[in-house]
Amino acid sequence: MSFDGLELSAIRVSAQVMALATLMCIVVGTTLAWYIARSGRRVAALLSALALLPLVIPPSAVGYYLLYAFGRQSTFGNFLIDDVGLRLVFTWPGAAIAAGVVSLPLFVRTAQAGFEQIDPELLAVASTMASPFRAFVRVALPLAWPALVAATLIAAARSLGEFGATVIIAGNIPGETQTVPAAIYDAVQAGDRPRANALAFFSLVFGLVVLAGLSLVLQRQRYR
Amino acid sequence: MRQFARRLSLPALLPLIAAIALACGANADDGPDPAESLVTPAPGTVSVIEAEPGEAYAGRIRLAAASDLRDALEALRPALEETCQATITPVYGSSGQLKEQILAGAEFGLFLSADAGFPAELDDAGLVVSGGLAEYAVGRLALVTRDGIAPAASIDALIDPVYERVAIANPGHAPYGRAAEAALDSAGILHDIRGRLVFGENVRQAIDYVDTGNADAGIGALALVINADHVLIDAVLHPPITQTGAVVRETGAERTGRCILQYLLNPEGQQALQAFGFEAVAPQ
Repeated sequence: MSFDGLELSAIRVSAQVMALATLMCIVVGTTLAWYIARSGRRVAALLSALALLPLVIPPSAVGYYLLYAFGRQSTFGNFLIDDVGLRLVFTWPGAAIAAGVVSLPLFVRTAQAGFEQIDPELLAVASTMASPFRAFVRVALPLAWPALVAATLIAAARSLGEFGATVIIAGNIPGETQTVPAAIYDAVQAGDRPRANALAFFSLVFGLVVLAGLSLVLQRQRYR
Repeated sequence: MRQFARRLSLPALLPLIAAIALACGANADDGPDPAESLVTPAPGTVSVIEAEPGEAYAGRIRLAAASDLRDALEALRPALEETCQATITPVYGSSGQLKEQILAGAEFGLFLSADAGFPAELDDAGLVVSGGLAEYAVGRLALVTRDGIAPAASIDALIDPVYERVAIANPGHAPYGRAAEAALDSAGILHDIRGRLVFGENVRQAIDYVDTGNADAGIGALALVINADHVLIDAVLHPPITQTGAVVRETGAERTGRCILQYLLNPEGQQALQAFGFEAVAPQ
């Protein structure tokens, strides 16, 4: 199967979106998951509900809110565009933010499970000997890493597949903001079977690779 | 199996036969045939009411309509529903998308395309009733600018980088997108502003991008901005956007489809369409 320029550019845009979205998930999601795992029951429940919200509302609703927040209709959006010079509507970083928001719940859930498995006594001991940050980096991270790798893979796969929210905020501009899912949608709508085939097949193969990686990580975790 | 079918067939068919008889009776005796109450077609237009045997009226019809009709069709709907005695459920989209859906078997009684090519494709695929194709109007392009910046006075003004994002409908499957691209090309600025183009899924969305301020300017259907500030784009800059209707075969609502299309061709329909900026099809 061969890919033409438009298909390759969709794959490139998707790779950019996936990389930035996954990075967002790692930074924001790890922090959130850590606090949820370590906080008292009420705070944890509140944080957990907030982190899960994008999972239970339709991605198109997420896209709609983001479009409002970052676009010309809101004061914040006008501030971003005119004063900060940051244009997120119709750009790939905007698509990445949308994909990141939608993928965040999956990252947080998986990472949180990893943190919760750590023996609290180990962490208590660590906290008597080092700063909280050092204790997190030297003790918690090494113990929870398989869960964090799994979380990263799941978030990456989810952000590659994100369609509803990204297409609303980023539009569907070939070569600029058109991701693989958007290009598939476009090809189907335009009756371009070969293109839809090529890109859907690419997604299938990529999905299989991610799943294979995921099960390797999980196996390692089990036999540790 | 065969025995079972034979035993089933007569009792099962009885209500059906009764229903058909009733329906025919209703058509023949009670009240006027909806199509007969129509006035004579406007000069230069085709008549699409000559139905074939086996075609039927339905109390409800799903209509695949190009999104340039979103305002005009809503305005026309009460008259259409009254004349053709059917509840109309319009589904709007780009003509190319709707054509794909009909090819894939979506049940639309009538397809109102923004161009002539997509209905012709359906016809080639054998999906249109005989005599069920008619060009009913010509669409025009209009240029709009978002609030808060200097309005673009003409299509050439789009070369100004102040219009950072210019919205058009997706030329891949939207006739107005193709026309907008052709107009930009004729104006000699397509190459320069290509990097600033953003595509709406259909012409309504392209206009929406400008309405919400997310695109700085846009080229779309006159029919959607007739009551807003706009600049009409010279029709010589692009091939005509010939609005074409196609009555879809074997939907059980073929006569209703013909009736609606015929209404659009009649003087009242033409007048209503022209109020939204559509132009009459030039006589052949």
